[in-house]
Amino acid sequence: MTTAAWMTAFLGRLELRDIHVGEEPSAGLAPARLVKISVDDWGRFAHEAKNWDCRWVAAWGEDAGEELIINACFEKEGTYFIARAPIKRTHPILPSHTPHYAAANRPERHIQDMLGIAFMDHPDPRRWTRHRAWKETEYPLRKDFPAAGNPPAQTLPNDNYRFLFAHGSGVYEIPVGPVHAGIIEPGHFRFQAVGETVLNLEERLGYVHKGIEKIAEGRDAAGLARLAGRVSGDSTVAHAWTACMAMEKAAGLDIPPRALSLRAIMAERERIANHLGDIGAICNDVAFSFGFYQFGRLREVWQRLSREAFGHRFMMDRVIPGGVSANLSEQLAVAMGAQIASMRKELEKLYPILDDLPSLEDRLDTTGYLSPETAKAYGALGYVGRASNMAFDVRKDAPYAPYDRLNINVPVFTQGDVASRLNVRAQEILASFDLIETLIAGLPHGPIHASWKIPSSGAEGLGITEGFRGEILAYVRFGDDGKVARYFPRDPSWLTWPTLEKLVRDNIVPDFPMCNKSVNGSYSGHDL
Amino acid sequence: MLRILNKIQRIGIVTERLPIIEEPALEEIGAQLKAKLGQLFNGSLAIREVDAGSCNGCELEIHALNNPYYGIERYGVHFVASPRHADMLLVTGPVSRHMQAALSHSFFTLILLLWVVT
Repeated sequence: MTTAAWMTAFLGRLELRDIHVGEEPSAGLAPARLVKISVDDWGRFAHEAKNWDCRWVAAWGEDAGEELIINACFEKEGTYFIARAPIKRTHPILPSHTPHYAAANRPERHIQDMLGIAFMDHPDPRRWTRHRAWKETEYPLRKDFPAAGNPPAQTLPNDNYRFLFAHGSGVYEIPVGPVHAGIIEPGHFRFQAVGETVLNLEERLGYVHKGIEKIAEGRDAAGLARLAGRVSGDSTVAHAWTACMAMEKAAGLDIPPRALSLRAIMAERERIANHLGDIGAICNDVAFSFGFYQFGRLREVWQRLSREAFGHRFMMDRVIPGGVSANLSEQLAVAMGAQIASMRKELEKLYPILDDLPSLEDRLDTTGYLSPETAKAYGALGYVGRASNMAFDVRKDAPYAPYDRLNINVPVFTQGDVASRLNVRAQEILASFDLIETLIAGLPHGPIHASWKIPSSGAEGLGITEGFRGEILAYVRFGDDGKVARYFPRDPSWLTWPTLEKLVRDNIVPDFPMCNKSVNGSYSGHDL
Repeated sequence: MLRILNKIQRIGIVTERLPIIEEPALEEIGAQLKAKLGQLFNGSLAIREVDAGSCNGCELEIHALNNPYYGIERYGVHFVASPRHADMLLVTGPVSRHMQAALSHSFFTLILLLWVVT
C-alpha cells in the first residue's frame, strides 16, 4: 500500500502542536504504521486525530514488566496507524480518548479493569468488564495475576452498578436480563420508558467474560488459532483468519495462494450464513413466520454444504496458522456454484415479498433510526454503518489478499433504519455470491498450508479483516519459544453495541427485539 | 399473498425423517430415552436454555433444531422463555464467573427440577 499523503501532513501538524512523535518501522504491523508518543501527549494526540477526521479503531494495553504499554489504532482513507505510549507501572495514569471519541468509552474501561490503567478525564469511571469475580484491586492482564485467578467460591451478582436513573410522572424502568427469554447470549438491558416509548436504554455487558486474553498467553500458534475461532462462534472463520494473519505477519510467513482463496471462500460463506439467519430472525421478531422459516431453510442448506465441503457447519478450526486445514474438491466447488445459482433464483422471489409486505413495512421502516452523524461519531461498522452512510469495508478500502485483486460491491444506504440494515444484508448476500463464484473460478492450484515458522521473541503482528459484522482487528505479540505473550481481538461489536442505545430511543418497547437483531452485537466477542 | 402461498406450496414440507441408525447401542438408548420422556414428561419436555459463557455457536445450533428440517417440536421437545415453565435446564459454555449468580437463580426458579444438562 502506498504511504498516504494525509499521514505525512498529519505528522507535520503534530510537530507544530508540540506533540513529539517518533515513527518506528514495524514489519509485523505493516501496512499499519507505528508512532510512539509520550503519555502526557496521549489526550492531545487524540484531539488532533479527531480534527484530522481519523476514525478511532481500537485500544489495548499490555504488561511489559517495568512499564505498561498502551496502544490505540486509528484509520483514515484505508491507512491505519497505531499510537503507542509507555506508562510507568508506579503511576499508571494517562489522559483519555473518550472526550474526543465516544467509541473509546468502553474499550478504555475494559483496559482500566483488566490492566489497572486509569484514564484521568474519562467521563464514566464505572467498572465495565469486571463485575465481582476478582478483587477491585486486582488486574487480570498483569503478569502477576494467575491465569486461574483467585475467585471467591460464589461470585456475587453485580447489583451495585449505578445505572442512569430517570424520574418524573409516568416514567418506569424495565430491567431485562442477563438471562433473556430467547435462546440468545446473556446481557443486561435497563430501559426507562414512558407509556410504550423508550426514553433511554443502558446496556450492561460482561456476563460472558471468560478471560480469553489471559488464557491466550502461553499458547502456541495453533492453540491461539483455535482460541480465536471461539471468540465469537458466528464469526469463527473471520476471527481465526484475523488472528492467523497477525501471527503470520509476526513470523514473516507467506501463505500459499490457494489457502488465501479458500479462506476467503469460507469467510464469504460465513457472511452469507449469518445474513440469511438474521434476516429470518428479524422476520420472526415481527411475527412473519413465513420469512423466518424460508430464510431458516436457506441457512440450513447453506450450512450443510459448508460441512460437506470443509467438514464443519461453521467451518471452525479450518483456518490454521500458515493456511487452511481443509481442501475444496473439484466436485464440491461445482456443487457450490450450483447452490448459488439456485439460491439466487429463490432470493429473487423472496426479496420482493419482504419488500412489498405492508405489515413488514409498518414495523421495519423508520424503526430504530441511526443518523449518519451518530453512526460516524461512534465509528459504526459493517451493516450498521453501511445503513447509515458509512461505506467503510476493509475488503475494499484496505484490501488484504485475496480481496486486493477482486472487485468488491459494497451496498450503502442512508436511511439508517431497521429496514436499511436488513437491505444491506440482503444485498451483501448477493455480492458475496459473486465473490465466491469469482474465487472458485480462479482458485489456484498448489498446497493449502505452509509449514509454521517460529517467530522471534518479541515479534508482533496486526491482522485486520472484514467479518460479517464489520472490521475485526487482532494484535499478537510472541514471547519466547513461539509462545503467545499477548493476544487482543477487537470484535466489531465493541463499536456497534453503543449505537443500539442510541437508535432505540423514542421507539416503542415492542420494537426493541428487531432493533436489537438488526444490530446483532456479539456478547461473547465483546465480553472476551 | 398469492406469492407467499405459491412459495409455501412449491417448497412443501422439508422436515426430515429420523435417520435409520445402524448402531444397535444407539437404537437401544433411543428407545430408552423415548420411554423415559414418555414416562417422566408425558411425552413433552420443556427446556430452558441458559448461555453461561458459550461462544454463541451452541445457541445457533439449538436454533437450527427448530428450523423446518429438524422441527424438534414434533418429538415433544420445546424451548421455553422462563425456567418456571421448564422441566430441564440446558446450560452452554464453561459457566463464566459473572454468570454464576444468574445461573444459580435460574436453577432455583425451576419449580420441580428434573434434569440439568451441560
